[in-house]
Amino acid sequence: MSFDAWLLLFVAVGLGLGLEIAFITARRRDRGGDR
Amino acid sequence: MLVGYLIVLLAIGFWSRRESGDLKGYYLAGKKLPSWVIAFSSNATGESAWLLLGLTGMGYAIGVHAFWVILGEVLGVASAWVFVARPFKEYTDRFDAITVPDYLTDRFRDTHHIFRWLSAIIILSMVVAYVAAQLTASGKAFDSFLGTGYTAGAAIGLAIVLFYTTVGGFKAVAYSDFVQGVLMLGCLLTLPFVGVAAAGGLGAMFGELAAADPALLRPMGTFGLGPAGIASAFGFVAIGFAFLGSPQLLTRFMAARDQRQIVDGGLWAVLCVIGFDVGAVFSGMAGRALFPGLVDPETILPEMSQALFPALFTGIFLVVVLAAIMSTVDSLLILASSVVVRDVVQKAMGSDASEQRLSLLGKAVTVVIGFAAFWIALAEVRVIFYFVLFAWSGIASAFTPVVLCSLFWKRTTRAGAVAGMMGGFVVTVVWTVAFKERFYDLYEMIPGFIAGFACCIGVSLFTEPDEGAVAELESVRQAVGPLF
Repeated sequence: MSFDAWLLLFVAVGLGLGLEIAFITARRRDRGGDR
Repeated sequence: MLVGYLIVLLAIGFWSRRESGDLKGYYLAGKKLPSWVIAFSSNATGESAWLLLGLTGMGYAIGVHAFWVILGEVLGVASAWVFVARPFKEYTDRFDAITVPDYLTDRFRDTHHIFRWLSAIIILSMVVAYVAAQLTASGKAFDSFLGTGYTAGAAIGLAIVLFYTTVGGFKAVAYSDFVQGVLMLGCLLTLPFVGVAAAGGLGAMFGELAAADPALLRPMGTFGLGPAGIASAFGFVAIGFAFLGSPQLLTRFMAARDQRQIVDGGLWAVLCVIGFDVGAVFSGMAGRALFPGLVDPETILPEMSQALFPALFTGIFLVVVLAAIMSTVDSLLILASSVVVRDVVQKAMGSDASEQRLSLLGKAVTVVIGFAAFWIALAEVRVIFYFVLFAWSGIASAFTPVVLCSLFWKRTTRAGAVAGMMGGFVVTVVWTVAFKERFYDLYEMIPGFIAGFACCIGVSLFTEPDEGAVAELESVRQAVGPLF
């Protein structure tokens, strides 16, 4: 499989996971701040 | 195996029956669902038999060009949970909304019930087509795996869904979706590993694919970087846009117990859709290396299940295909029932019948819509997934641009939202009928979304938003807080 095909796959998975993990991290920080 | 699965579904229906006595219980499970249920339920609803038969078939037919579908769906699901879910949940809790048209009516102070009538027309027409296609898949699955005959197979599928949906309502739908989602995920995590191993490992599989057609390993496929390739890639990415605002998926956020369930559920949902899509595409690619020359690529999953697994597993794969079908059909039936009973009968027509009577009516409407779809399915819709993608697009183009504008742009007005719904829906239908073939088969969701946003924003700029609605949006934003 070509490099750009692997890149497309990793971008697809990485963008979704990265967005979600950044969101969860921010929310947990908020919860910590509330306490 | 099949009997065990059906008993589980019937038991879930029976277990959930107490919750279905009033409208909020029947249509939203009393807003008490935990994160893991809404996460799997929304993905299992969004992904129908198209995932198991259609997307594996795409992996078989076009190879890594199908990675664009993964990009669109993973981004669509992640964005829905990160950006849309919390403000939408906050709004619908404040309005005590049960349906998406409920939300639109309150958000835009629509005293004439325009959103309710418009939503009923769009949802009913699209749901009947969508469910008919799924029942067609059910008939074919039962017939090919067990030799029941097409009509009996479609009837068995419908009867089971109608039982647990009418007895247990949305709670039964959501929890059965969870079971079905786990089954689908298990299948799509197992199949590619077995398939790739049978093909001799990743290197050998890629070698076979390159020998068959080098374009199978290129992201732009046979099209290259021309207009046709770009149209095709964009079309695949656009499939995922629907996760941002389709009513059958938004109801999961409304039914969450609280905001915390949404924060906790997002990661499950993203991991689940990654497993679904990557597993389906790699299964199809492994299938192409193992079984080249299939007349119908969408039969690759049954082909692999019969050739690579012991006979017992044939039953498991039938169950998984049925799970994908039923998890979509149940959610669509209850969505269509909710717009008829809650939006049209109770609100637009002002019925003063008791909640119990309306809940009973909701169950009757669920059955009637199911039979209407069955009647259409008897005509044996030939191209199942053409109809699925069209109906998926029709609902999404009507609702998503308007829902997004309503949540994030305070200048959105009632007239703009009505224009956006009508524009998105009409352009989807017209594009499919009159223009699609002439423009590189560009998927109808792209012109549908462009029209939906253009009409909503354009008309809103020429009209004035309700002052109370603007203040309310700011208050919702404050309650939800910053995104990151």
